[in-house]
Amino acid sequence: MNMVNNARYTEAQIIKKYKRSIFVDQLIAFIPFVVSIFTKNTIDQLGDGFGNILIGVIFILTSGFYFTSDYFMNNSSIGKKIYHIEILMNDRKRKLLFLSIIIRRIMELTYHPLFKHDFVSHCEKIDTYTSTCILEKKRKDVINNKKKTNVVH
Amino acid sequence: MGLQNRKILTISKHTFCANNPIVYYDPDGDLFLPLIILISAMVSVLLMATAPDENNAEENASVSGSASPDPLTFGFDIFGVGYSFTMEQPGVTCDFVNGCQEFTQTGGQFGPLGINNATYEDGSNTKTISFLVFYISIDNNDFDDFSSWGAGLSFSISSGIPSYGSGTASFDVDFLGLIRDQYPQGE
Repeated sequence: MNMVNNARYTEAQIIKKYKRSIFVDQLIAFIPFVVSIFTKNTIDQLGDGFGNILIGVIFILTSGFYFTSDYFMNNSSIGKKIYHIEILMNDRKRKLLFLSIIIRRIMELTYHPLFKHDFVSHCEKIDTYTSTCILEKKRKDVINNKKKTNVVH
Repeated sequence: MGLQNRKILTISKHTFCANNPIVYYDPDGDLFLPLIILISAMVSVLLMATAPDENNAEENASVSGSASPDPLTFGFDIFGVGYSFTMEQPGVTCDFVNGCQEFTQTGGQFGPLGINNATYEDGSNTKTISFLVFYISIDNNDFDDFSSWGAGLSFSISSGIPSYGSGTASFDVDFLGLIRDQYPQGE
């Protein structure tokens, strides 16, 4: 019987979390846009073309939030915070580059599951181009528990 | 050796793919999309052929296209994935029953999630939410009327650069409408 490679298993778990976090982030950016489209007819009654302006403004705001949330939210967008992962530069010391975040987000948007199932290779490509990596966040409650268990009585 | 006691089927590495790993081998999933297109085409033709003539089931398959240098459109999306925004883009949609009709569309795509609001020249409008190639639509915000709902597959490509121009092309099949049209109207 083959032994389970623990490092690979952990990596697979992170990639699964990363994939889900991308979808959560896209959903967060998408919902206000959906609301603006569905309320367009009502908003248009306030003034001609007002609905279109609102849709445009909401799309710009949600896009801005989607593309920059990793940068302004301490290396973790809302989706990444939910799944306890974060983006770091490859050397782990430098501050995350704004350009890396933008390229990362654009490349995330180009992943097409119907064309290519292999999300792992897509992740590797993103990591290579942006010199960043996805790591699991150390949860505060876990760290605190470890500290408590380490206390010598 | 334990191998000598085993049946030949359990030894063969390619039993799972009918011993034909060349034909039945798709590690990257590249055949998935052509398979969806093929199956949806076969099923839609079958449903159109079996529906009563008076229901005009052929109207559930439509081809749409739009191209214009004027509207504010940017980004790209292909088969329901990409990043794009479309504002009041004029276009034409055609089906076998109603012929062609002009429309303007406003919408956008965030990765696999898309939304579109199309307003037709007769004043009606259709709002569509999509995930990849799958979509749900509603006509004139009439949520209570089951006949105004649609759901099916949409194979589309669009791209645009602001102030340069934009274009979209799509082929849509409304499977919910096709299933609804299997039954005589009024039931």
